[in-house]
Amino acid sequence: MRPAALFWLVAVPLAARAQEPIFVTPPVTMYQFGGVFGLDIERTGRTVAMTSEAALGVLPPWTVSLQGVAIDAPDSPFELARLHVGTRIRLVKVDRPREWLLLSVYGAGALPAGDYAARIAESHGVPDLLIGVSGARMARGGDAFADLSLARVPTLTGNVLAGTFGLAGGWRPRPGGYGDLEGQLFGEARLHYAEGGVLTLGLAPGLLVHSKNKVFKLGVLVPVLRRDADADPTVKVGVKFLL
Amino acid sequence: MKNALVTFALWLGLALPTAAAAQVPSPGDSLRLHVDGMVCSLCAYGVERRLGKLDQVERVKVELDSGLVVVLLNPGAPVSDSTLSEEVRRAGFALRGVQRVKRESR
Repeated sequence: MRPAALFWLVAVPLAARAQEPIFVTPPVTMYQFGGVFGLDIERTGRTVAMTSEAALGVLPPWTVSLQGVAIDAPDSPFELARLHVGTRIRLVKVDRPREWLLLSVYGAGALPAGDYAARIAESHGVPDLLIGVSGARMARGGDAFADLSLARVPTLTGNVLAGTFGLAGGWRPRPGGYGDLEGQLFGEARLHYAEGGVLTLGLAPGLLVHSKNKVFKLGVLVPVLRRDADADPTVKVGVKFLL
Repeated sequence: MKNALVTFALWLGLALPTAAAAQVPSPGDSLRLHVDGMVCSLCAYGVERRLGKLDQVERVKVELDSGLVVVLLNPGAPVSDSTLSEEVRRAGFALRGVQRVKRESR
């Protein structure tokens, strides 16, 4: 499997507390001293990546997170691949009645986790450095998200630089009251480019269901355009709890 | 001039306690906070958490469609607009206005 195609499998999400797309990174930060714990499972072909994350809002515009990525593949047992420490800083926030506009930058870096974990990460294209910018317009009826990220992906043959651009639109058919169980449908597009001309475009339908502090999400990212890449559809499920 | 000073002192003596008393909530008094930016339960969860931690607050009710946060106050525990504004800011939103509602007037 080629590295870029593997990066297609494992992106680096960072914690968010509001409605969030399934695959596109949102710009939302946690409220001050608010915590969140999340677990995502992605399956691509016969490879499964499990990402667990804990995040804390240090200041209203500043969230820090710790994330672990473990991978289960046919040729290797279920093993930790990376530990990431991440941060997100909100640069712009516009509050209007029932409308929220946000722009944030974020980054994540790998912590040392041992040679074995490093080899797993390199075999599966898990990035060790990532920076990005993300924006959103959120409203009662629906949301729109855009995200651009750059990542360094160590592989067994050297580092690869990769960029990902994502767009997502969310529609809330029946906006619920506070605390009500509420569903939101997402349509997402993710364009991924890596050094050497590797290009992948994927489209994803997604569903997010939440109450006031619990989230369940499900989405399928289907590659519709591939150049020099092997990319299978990715199924992702995730849960998140706000503390 | 002397009369004016006496009048002012009397006014001060009468008016200040009255003003202070107006800030001290009676049983059933509440606040209606107009909060901009709230669009969903997950977003507004922080507002409930931040305001709910205040000693002066007995209960918080968020109304997403109207952008209102109704805060039921503990009797005898005044809370200032600046405190409310700060907590809403820490929750990630902006407080546009505060309406103090006496129990009798509802």
